[in-house]
Amino acid sequence: MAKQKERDTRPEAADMTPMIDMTFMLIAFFMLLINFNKNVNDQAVQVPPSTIAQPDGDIEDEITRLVWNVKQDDDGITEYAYRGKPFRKDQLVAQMESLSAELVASGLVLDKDVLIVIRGDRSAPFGDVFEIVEAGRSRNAKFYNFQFNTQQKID
Amino acid sequence: MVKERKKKKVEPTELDMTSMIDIVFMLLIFFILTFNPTKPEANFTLSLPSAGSPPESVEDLPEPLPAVRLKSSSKSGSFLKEIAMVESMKGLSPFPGDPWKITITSEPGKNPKDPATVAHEAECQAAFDQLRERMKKFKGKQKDPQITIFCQESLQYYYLIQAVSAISGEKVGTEKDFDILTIFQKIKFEPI
Repeated sequence: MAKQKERDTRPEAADMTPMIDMTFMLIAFFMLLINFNKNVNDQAVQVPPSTIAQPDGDIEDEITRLVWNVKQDDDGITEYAYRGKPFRKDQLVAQMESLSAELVASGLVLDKDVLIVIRGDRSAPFGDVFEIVEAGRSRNAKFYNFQFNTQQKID
Repeated sequence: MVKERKKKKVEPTELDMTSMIDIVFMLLIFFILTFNPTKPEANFTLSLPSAGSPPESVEDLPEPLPAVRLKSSSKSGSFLKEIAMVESMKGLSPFPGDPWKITITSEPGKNPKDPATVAHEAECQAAFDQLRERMKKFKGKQKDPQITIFCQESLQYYYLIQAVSAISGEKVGTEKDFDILTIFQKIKFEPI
């Protein structure tokens, strides 16, 4: 009688293919949702809620948007940020003038093609947030269109 | 003797996939850490003539000139104390002496989650709803007036947006199926 060789009962490694497939799916999902706009949509700025204002939907126009974030730092001093760069209240007019000059030099018409988007923190003083409008409307800057961003609130 | 050459079996070498899987996991961790979901933001747009353009003279503006004023309890207060409204300002400023008004009695707490803050916001919301009702009645008499909101500079920006929401429209219908009825479209802001 032949000795029955004990079959090697080594457990086989579980098939990893489905797990790798899921991992690729997850990567594709996150790649599609990657968002490089952290400076523009600064999450530290909590815009005030509004039940009436509506979001834009898919933006397909050719309008140049300049996004300004306004918030108060820990000392209660209002800080303005444009593309991640901080500004103080007294530097606003100069910055608006230089932006305006740049845009006009590149051929844009300020009252049709340019929009200043203001993301003001809800607890920032109104005067400071409105300062952006006043600086934008100043004699040498002449911006015309302003947009105030809000959170959508569902009552 | 015929040598039987044993044909050497050429075993195809398999590519070792473990390093690729390691990189895939690294990529996944990178994307998970940089994932930053943002909600789309709603907005109000306004168009203003630049400061250099000639100001409108009082005679050119159509009567009536409605106006709303938001005031705090003190010159540097940041919480809303009073909402006042007039159906027509004589001239551009100052705000006349005896307007229709609502006084807010509560004050918010330090944190947004404080019950005092929640109560204050609810009271402000009710006050703005009353303002909206009054504006709707007023609008019935008008064609397309320009309304000015005088807001104290030290007041929190939150209150201005609540005022603009109350004046510019009303949401009717259910959550899924709603309509926004416009009350006023031309809104100007003036800091006071």
